[in-house]
Amino acid sequence: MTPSERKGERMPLSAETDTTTPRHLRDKYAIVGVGETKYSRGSGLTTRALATWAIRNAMEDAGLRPGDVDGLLSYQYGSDSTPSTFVAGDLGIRPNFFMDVHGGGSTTEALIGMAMGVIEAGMCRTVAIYRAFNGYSQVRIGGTGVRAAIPVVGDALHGRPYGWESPGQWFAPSFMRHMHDYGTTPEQVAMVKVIHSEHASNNPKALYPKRVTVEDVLSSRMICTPLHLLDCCVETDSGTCIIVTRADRARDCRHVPALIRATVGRCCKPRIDMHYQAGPISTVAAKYAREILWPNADVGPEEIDVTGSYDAFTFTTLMQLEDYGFCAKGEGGAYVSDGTMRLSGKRPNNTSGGHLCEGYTHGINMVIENVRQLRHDADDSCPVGADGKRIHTHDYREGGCRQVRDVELTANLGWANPGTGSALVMRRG
Amino acid sequence: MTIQAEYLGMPLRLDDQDHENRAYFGLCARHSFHLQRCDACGLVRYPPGTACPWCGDPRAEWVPVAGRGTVHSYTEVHHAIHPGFREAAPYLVLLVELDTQRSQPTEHEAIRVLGNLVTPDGVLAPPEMVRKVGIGSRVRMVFTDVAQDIALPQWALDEEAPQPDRPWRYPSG
Amino acid sequence: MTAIAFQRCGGCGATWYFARGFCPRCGSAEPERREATGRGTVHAVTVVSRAPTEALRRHAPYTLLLVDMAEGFRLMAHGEPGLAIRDAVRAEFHEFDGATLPRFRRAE
Repeated sequence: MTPSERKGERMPLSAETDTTTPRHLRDKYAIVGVGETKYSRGSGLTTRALATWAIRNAMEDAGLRPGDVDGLLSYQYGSDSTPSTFVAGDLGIRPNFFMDVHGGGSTTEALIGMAMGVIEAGMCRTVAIYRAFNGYSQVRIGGTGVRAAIPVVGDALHGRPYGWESPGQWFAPSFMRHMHDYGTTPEQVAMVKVIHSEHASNNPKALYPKRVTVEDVLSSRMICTPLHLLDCCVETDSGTCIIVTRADRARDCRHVPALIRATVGRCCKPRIDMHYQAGPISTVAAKYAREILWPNADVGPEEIDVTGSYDAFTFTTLMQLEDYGFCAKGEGGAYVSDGTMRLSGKRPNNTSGGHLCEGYTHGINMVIENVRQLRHDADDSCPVGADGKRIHTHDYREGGCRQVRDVELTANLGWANPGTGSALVMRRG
Repeated sequence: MTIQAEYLGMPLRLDDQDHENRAYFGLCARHSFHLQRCDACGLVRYPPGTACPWCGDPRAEWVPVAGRGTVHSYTEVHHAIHPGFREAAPYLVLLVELDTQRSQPTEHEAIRVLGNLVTPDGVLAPPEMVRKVGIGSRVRMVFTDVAQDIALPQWALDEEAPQPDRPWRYPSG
Repeated sequence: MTAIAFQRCGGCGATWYFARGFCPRCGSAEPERREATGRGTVHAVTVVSRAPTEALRRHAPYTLLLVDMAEGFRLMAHGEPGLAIRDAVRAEFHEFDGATLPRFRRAE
């Protein structure tokens, strides 16, 4: 049809397409491929190579060829990664769209929403989102060394000169105040690490697959109150990738798609310039994010089968689960320690072992894990059947299965800091 | 001219263009705590900024604010990141809620100012002093001189104020 | 002997210059490493008169080329002054700020 032939047609009015709610986007997009490199402390590879292999693995997982991916989104913290343009060349991808954004935790879920947006806008068809960094061997987030020589300039003068300069130190006032306000105990908090380590022991990829006890956590050396060494995640070298496309295209891919119900991207508390100025500091951004997440997903926390709550620290998992409404305000300590989060529990959390045990990726490995859970094909040590899929035993003892039964809905809760968070709800397609 | 200084081996810098922070730390260097008060709504704000976080008005004037408050939260740092802090560990980073403008403009808002627990002459507090302070402790502002135009606002125990019987401390600490 | 190395895909025959773990065209793993004959054609040329760094200043003006090599890949390299697009060239090697780099001359 030529433009002149089209002239007589009436353009639909915006009132006829319901753009006042995101309902029309629910389940319209899917994650069709996931991939990662080895999680290690010393990859011996450039971030370019890590990114390239992660994307290649995700394309293979999806059954896509280089020409099928025409969008790239990546994130980096400081300049700890390689931009899309270099990686595209190595993969034979000609991007119709790319964007490399600054960010650490909470970026994954935000970029998934952005990928939906750029596809919806017709800018490209299929987006690979990747994160590649040598978080141990090159740029350590809690690191000393190079960072010490960087001048403290301007607004940073209100924090760093007080020896307040790592994520653990930045978040600690929220954690401590939560203990003060609600009586949360060190033993309850330590259970996050205990449970995630149980899950990691059933994950052949996990960097720290050894199970630990509450006593192990509490007797590890204090980093800054309330965080012991084992309350902190494990700095890791890795590349990770997820591929987003429209659900109708997803049917041609290899696996059951993980349909995207809703996303929240970097939702903030008031006064995000210095979030401790506003509100109870024992409440985090999830309080605001949940007002977007659950209505958009059209489900509530009680319907979620598996969660992936960002565990840069044990405490971040607790505060997010609480403020997204998985338990009543102040009862996060009980929620994370009563067995609910175990593989055998009512709503397992971070079934791969998460940042505390599998590897630290700034959030993306927890989305990868939930995609696999939704496929009913977690990559554990269960025997592989004739169709190439694992025959899951659901025996969750050490070294065993980590596939949760009948997973239909998952939630990912991404954390940047107490004042900023992102989220994602996915459904089995 | 750019102001450069060094504190505990940490290079500090204030650029020419950064009028708000230059004014703030310059006043601190005279051991005088000032915040910007919005001409339009009358609220004081922290940290310094270009416009009012409540009403957006850019007009403000520096007004003296009493450096007294209550420890709202804290962390006791055992593993120092910067080499300059290693000898001082464990040290306290305090988040102090000022008496001024408490619960304004809404119930859970306040001016909450960071700083270390220090001795009255501005030196990082020794372990026996660190152990006495927790959530609820009353503190007063003192200054650590760094250079001619920079001093850091810090917190010392307020000996004149009534202290809580037992400030809240991390259980095993 | 010094030579320009490149990679060739055993699967689809694609060739490329920068070392990679797999073929950027078809994705086949384990590409072969080969040495080029050093013969090629100038695809583009520019003369840098204002050097971007102090170290490069003593070399200015210098000639930068994009060369389409006989084996099918394209690379950027130095060249002798006066080269033009479509000139047939061959690679020599020279020391340049501590590295051995290809430099192209007109082929006889």
